Amino acid sequence: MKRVLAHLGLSAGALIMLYPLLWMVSASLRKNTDIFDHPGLIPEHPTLGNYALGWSSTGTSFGVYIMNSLIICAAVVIGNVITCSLTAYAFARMRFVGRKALFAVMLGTIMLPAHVTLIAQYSIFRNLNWIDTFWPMIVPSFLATDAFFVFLMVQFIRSIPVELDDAARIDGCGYWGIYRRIILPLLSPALVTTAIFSFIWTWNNFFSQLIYLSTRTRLTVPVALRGFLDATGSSEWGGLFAMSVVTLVPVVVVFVVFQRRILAGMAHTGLK
Amino acid sequence: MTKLTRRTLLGLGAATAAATVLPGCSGGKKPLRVSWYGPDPVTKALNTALTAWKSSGGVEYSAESAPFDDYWDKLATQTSGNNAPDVLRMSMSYFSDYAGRSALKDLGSLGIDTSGLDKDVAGSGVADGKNYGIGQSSISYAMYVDEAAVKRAGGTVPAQGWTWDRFAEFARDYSGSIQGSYGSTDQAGNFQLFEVYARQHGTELFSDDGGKFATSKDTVQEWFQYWADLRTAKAAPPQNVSAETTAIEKSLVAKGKAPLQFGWVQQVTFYQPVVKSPLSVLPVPQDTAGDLKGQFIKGLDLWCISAASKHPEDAAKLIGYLLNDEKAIKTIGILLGVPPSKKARDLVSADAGSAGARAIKYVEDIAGKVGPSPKPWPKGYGELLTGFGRIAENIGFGKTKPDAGAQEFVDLAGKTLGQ
Repeated sequence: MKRVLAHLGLSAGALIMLYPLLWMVSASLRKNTDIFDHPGLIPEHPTLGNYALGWSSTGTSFGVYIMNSLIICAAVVIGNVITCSLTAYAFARMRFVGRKALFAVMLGTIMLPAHVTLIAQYSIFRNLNWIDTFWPMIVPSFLATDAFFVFLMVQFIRSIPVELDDAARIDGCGYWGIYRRIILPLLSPALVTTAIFSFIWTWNNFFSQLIYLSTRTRLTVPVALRGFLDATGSSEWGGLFAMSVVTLVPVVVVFVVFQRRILAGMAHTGLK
Repeated sequence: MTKLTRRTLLGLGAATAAATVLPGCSGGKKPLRVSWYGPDPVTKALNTALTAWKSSGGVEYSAESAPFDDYWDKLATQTSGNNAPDVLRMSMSYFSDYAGRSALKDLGSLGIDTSGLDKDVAGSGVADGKNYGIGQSSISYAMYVDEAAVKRAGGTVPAQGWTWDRFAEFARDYSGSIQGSYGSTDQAGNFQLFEVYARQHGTELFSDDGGKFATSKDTVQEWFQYWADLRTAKAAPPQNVSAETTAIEKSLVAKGKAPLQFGWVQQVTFYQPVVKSPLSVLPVPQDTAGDLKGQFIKGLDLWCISAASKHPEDAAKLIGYLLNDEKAIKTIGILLGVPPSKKARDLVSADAGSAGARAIKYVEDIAGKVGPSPKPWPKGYGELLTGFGRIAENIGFGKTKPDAGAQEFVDLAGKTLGQ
């Protein structure tokens, strides 16, 4: 009896949490003019027209935007996983001059609002001739600039017993060998967490993609989605919701595939 | 082993760096960059016009566009990063910010043919005696009225104009006669409509040099009070309803819950598709019925060339093309506003009976009757625009009173202007 009640309560909670999402799916199946008429979830005259319309209405296939986003996300995930773990390993295990100061500086960059560095960054990328390319989104992730992930992994590596390192050293491993054979395998929950959050945050990152990308065929999903709305004119809500649903698919796929590892990663890294 | 791997790593790093730099090094002349804001139809029309320009001998170009709000984030970054587009669409709300920071080029010597432009529009981009922008449109503030709805409610809209008092009376009667409807939308936070109101009360919004707020606190207070009274009388919707009905599709006039809406004249073409019966385009209420001196005609969106542009001559040619070429005029239609020249209006207004034709007719009808157009809005205008809306919202939600709100706004204006 108690379990039934608990299930009922949880299901009701889940339904409330899911309502906005369900509403979006339902809105994507309605005509533009009907969307805000009824709060209910069941569309009266369901139509898939919004999907066809939204997919092509910007003159560039929405698939192009999805592809662009996927390219950037994949690169960022790879970059973050490799370089942040290397950096974290150095901070956690190696003794070098200025380690503490550098660590403090790195933590400081977490607290720096993005807007402060925006213009300086923009100038750098402009001088490199990288404006309107994917590089400003991708290259920083190969330089371990996401201090949050570095910090996450430093904490994780510190929890790995140093004795393992010592044993490996006796067996003839150098720093590189310890990193590859000892740290990296044990770090995998943190790596998974990093990969997933890198993916989702980059997938949703709007601002830098807006600032750096201009050519239609190079735009990414968040920027393209905003194109459906405009304060000075009429907005194409139907197309917006339909493409938002499409946009959710990769995120859902990533989540379903890695579900178990995400939960394990969260439990291990204490990231909630 | 360690040494070797470290060196390999370093080499790898250098290789990646080299590989990543390469794609950026595209040689040759950079294309002319054209940037604008606006909804999808604007983007499509301008792309078509640009393609036509290219095939009629124009230079290589690259187009950028963004929705209005995002556009300003991007343009600000590009400008401070010394990478502004060559030709850009500028709104009067931000014009002085950019002109005042020398981010725009003086167009005086570039020979853009502006001979056909309406007089009021030709001067819209002039600041400190230099012409920094060419008006894209002749626009004025307007009221769009769903006359069929008014008739159903048993009301009438006076043909020769009405005073604000008469308008309030109308709104109350309308709300009283139709359940769940409001006679007017709430315009308390509409700074642009307030500019007309202020001019009807004898002063411009800003001093000539743009350094001071010239309207009195009393006028601001009167304005906030006017709308507060309408809300109390249920002639205008309560704040929570207004807050949820800002988008065009969600607006009260689209939902049939209000018979009218205010906005810049060309926006009637965005509202018309979501309203069933035709919307008439009328002047906003007046201080003395029929006296339109408070209103003005102006070019509120401009074509500008950034100061950093490497090829201003090509940029000027493009602006001239968009302004004067018959094909371009027809492609753009009234998407950027009512066209700023007689020639363009005659070319476009062919589609009689449409909302666009009514917008054009409205501008031509009031052209002789409106007051002189004000100077470009001063630096900091954008901040006042949002501040005015925020204060009005606070009053609407009962967090502050019209009196205190008016004072708050005057203080804000004092702080923001003249810096």
